[in-house]
Amino acid sequence: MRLVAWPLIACLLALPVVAGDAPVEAKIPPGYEPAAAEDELGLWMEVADIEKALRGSALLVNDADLNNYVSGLACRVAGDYCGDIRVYLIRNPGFNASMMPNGAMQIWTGTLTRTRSKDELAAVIGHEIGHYTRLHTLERHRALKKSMSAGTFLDLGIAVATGINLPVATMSAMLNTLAFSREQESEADLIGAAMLADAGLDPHAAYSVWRGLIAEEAAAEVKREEPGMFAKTHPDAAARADVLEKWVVERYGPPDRDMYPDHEHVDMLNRHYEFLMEDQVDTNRFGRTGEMLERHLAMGVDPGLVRYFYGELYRQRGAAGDAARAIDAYRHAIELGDAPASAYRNLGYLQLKEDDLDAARRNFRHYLDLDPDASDRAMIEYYLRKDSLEDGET
Amino acid sequence: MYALVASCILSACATTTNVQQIDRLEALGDHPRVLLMPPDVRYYLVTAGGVPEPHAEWTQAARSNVETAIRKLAADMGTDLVVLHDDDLTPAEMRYRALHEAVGATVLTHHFGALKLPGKHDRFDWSLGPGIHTIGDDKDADYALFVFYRDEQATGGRIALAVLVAAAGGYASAGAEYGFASLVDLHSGDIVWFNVVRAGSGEMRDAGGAETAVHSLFRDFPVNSRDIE
Repeated sequence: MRLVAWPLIACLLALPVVAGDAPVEAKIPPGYEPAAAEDELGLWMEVADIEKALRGSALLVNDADLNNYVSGLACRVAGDYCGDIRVYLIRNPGFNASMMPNGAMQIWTGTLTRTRSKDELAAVIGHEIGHYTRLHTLERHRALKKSMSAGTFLDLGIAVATGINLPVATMSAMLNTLAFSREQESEADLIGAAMLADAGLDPHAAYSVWRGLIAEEAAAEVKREEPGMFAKTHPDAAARADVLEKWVVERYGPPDRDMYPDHEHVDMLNRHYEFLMEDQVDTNRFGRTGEMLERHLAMGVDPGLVRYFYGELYRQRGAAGDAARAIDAYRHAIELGDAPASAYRNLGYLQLKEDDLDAARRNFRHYLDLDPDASDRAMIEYYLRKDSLEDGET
Repeated sequence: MYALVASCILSACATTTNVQQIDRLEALGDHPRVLLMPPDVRYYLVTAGGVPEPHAEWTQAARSNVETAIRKLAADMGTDLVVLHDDDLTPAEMRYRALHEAVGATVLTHHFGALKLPGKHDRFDWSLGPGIHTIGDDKDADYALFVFYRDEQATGGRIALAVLVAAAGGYASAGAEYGFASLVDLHSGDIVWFNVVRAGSGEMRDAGGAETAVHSLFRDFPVNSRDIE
């Protein structure tokens, strides 16, 4: 993680740094090891086990390029704490990041597709580092110990079902109970914004990232009650963005540039777009996916890739008129160049259904030319045999 | 209501706590070879508020004592034991450990617990699937052994609270011990033996107690069980 070669960024930012101390001081120094306190040692042991499991998780993204990008950014934001933070990129199309008290941070891939610049991604990372440097998990645990209200936290419903306490529930129940409080979230917001500025990134990204999520939420067909940053302990996104904006503008002045396009972020998306967006399309949340695609086009993501996913969206939605829309989108993607090989295949399938056999065959051939080792090669070859198409076996 | 739950937990209202599908361990080699997955043992301290707090020192002592006790037991049984450690697990081994945790919890809930699955008719045919042979192949192992154990030690304050709450007709846990051990056939993936333990099975934080606890955990283990007793 520390082997990341720093790209030389021509930093166009001229941040008017307002004098003053950090809003909230870190409670622990870089290189921190847990104190001799029993409760803290226990927490570290517990999360060390979770971290080990995370390393073996099938959902862990192993791609070196993506990991370098995210871990490198985390290191830059963390500054002196770089050596204390370990980033685990998790394959999940949702927007979420979380921090364990020992410095292990999880970031879901959906966070990469929803942030519009490295500054916005760094804002999420800085927020999580804020939880770490302020010992928020430990603080929460101690607060809970003091409050008797936690007395019934053992899941008695499960106890009824099993006749004994369900053992595996213990750990996750404990961690759920340790969800950060609203005060801690606000604290982490401010720390995150200050860390952005200290790292030469745009602190205005700390609130713009929320505005992006609000726009996505507005486009959603079904409003969410999802775990993640919108969960109940997190202040309402709009209010949160407003508070942060006021604070950042007071401290660092108004935004002095349009933060887009961020070539570094867009290049990362272009290199991994198929991998990242495939999971998003598969959520079948078409309103949200459409809003994200629109945003990606505006950001300057390769339009051939984005049009391809419009094709995927329409093909999977399958509403009236969607087949024609999907065909248009795939064609558009292909015209723009750089469309994935599967654009030809999926277009071919749609043309097959429309009885446009010559066109379908042409696209199937093109698909196999581009991807000779395709796992569905036998299937495509079956369709390429003239009679199989004309026997109406489709 | 809660008092009922408490009495259910404390008096072990589920009658069966053990399932033995085989009489003896079958071995491809001279002796049955058993892969011991890192025992998932954790000690918690329950303070007055009722929040179980993981306790590193107790947990480490218990894990080490349990491993020693299992090694001794395996030697007594004439079984070759291959001990895997947390830090050396391959991704496949980690995944099977996680799968076993899910299946084990399901067995507890739906076989030993009150929530019976109607279609099961009390059959015990739980399996991790034959794909598990991949984790035994390079170790020439015939079986994998999984141990799960939780001990929640209540502080004096918590026990006092539990008494007060009980006097008021309620229920507050005053600590708990529970766990299970399970043996998986690495050729079929089937769980061939499963044993549940609860309160009073042994104090793993000291070596002698851990031996007692391991004997309770391995009750009716399918190798000449009379030798183990």
